Amino acid sequence: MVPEQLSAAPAPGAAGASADEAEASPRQTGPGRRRWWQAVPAGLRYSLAVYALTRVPVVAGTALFLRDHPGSTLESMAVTWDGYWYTHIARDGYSTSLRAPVAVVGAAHHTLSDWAFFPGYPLLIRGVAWLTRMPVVPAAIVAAAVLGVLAVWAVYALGEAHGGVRVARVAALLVAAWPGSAVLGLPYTEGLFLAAAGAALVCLQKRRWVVAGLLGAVASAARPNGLAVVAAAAVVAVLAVLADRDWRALLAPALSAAGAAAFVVYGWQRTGDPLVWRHAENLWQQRLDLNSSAIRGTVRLLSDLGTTMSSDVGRTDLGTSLLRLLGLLFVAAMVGAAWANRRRLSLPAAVYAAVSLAMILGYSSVGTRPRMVLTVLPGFVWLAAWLPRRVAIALALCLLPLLGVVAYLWGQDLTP
Amino acid sequence: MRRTARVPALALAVALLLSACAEEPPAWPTQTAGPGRFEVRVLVERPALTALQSDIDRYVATRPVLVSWGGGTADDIAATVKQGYRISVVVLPSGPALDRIRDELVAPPTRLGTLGSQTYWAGSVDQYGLSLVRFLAGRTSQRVLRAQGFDVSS
Repeated sequence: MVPEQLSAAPAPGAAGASADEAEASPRQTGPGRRRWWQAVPAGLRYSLAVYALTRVPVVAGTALFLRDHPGSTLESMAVTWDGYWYTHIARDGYSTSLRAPVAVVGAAHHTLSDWAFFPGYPLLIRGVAWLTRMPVVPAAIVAAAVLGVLAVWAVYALGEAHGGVRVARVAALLVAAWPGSAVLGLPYTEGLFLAAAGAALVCLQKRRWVVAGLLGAVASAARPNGLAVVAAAAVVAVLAVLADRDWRALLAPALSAAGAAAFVVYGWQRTGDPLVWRHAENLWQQRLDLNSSAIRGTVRLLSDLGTTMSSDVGRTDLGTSLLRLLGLLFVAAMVGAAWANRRRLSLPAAVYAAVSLAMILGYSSVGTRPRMVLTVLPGFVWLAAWLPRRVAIALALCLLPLLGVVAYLWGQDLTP
Repeated sequence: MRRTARVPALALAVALLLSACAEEPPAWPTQTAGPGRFEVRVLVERPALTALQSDIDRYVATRPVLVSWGGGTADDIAATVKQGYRISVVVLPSGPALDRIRDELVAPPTRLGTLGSQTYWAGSVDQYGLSLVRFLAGRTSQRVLRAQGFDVSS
């Protein structure tokens, strides 16, 4: 509902906004002549189309992988990596101890912890499974696919608020074509997070404090990156209080933080450890190293290319490293685009992007992996505003085959 | 704009500072033995450390593993496990510290014997420690423990 309101209300001075109106107005001469699809907001229609088109390489990559690996199924691909944990939490709930019980997850997964995963998406999976009577994994995939469209739409809304329909369209195209978007069809939190965080940033720009706070709460209950939304809300709210004595603005950071706070309180109540999430991060080896171990790993792989290319594991690791490198280049381009857009940067988007980038560049385990770069939503908007339209479209077209490659390598344990 | 640029810079600095606030583990291995690359980390309650050292030496002599071990109080060892640091095996006496980490073990703890007035247990926190715990409960190891002052009669 919120993104609909957002995309329906273009930003002041949004030059391209009239394009959508011009497209719609000749057909809206009477209620009887209104086409059914015109009931759907233009931003959503565009996002849906872009999302559907960019899923073609994902489907192709997945189909090729399944053809080459007869023992694999869509379900087994979906529950690789984090997908396993989200569906496990949706099915079994969180453990009462830091490490997940052997009886539930087996000895190998006991080494790790489900408390590293935020509850927003597993709750949604459980809700969808209950509503549709589907098993957990298919319900998770359906939820992720729908949320993927909403995520692209949120970027569209963010782009529209920044520079009108032209920027919105290019930003939506770039985010949907970016290789990290392969996870939007998998049981991962990115769809939920991006949709909520993007919409929250637009609401912060429009000073809709309560809606921004509620969306921020969803984002902070979905991923630790929700901290970036809370930070953006806090900075904007403090400035609103100082400048206009708008005390209502404080609702935005307070509500935004509530999602993550509820998780912390729940973890404390369930395990007796108020820092259980932080301790779970230790178990997952999340340490501040400014990406040094990722860089060392890439150098090692590249310096012994013969050995690297001689096995599936080596090739997949090399693929992961090269994608990280691409992510780093993309992040650099985003920073360049932010500089080029510096007179038009919105404060919430800038704070959000800065905190998101700090998370990405601080931790090797997060790093510039494509799906992590995806969380820097404003970066896609700044790139869309900065790059000439043809260049941006050409870039998106160049990225499309990589989406297919990521989908294929996913089955071979690529960490996107 | 200048103000706009300062705020993200400040947010970035705060985020980095917050990220840097990492805890140190209360107890951590300080010694290593063995030829292997794969590391099995062991924490032993201090009074039992010397007795177990020769057992660990025996264990690594026949296997391609690297065992790193260290001592600490029972509470510190339990806290290290509870804080999510990768420890594979703990050796603790009966009591609240062992009870606190029981849920974190991959299998029920194995009784090693009594040293002084304390009954000691070896627990495997992850599957990589199972082999060492089995070894510690085995006949060869029990002989070594007896020689080190353990009462291993059940």
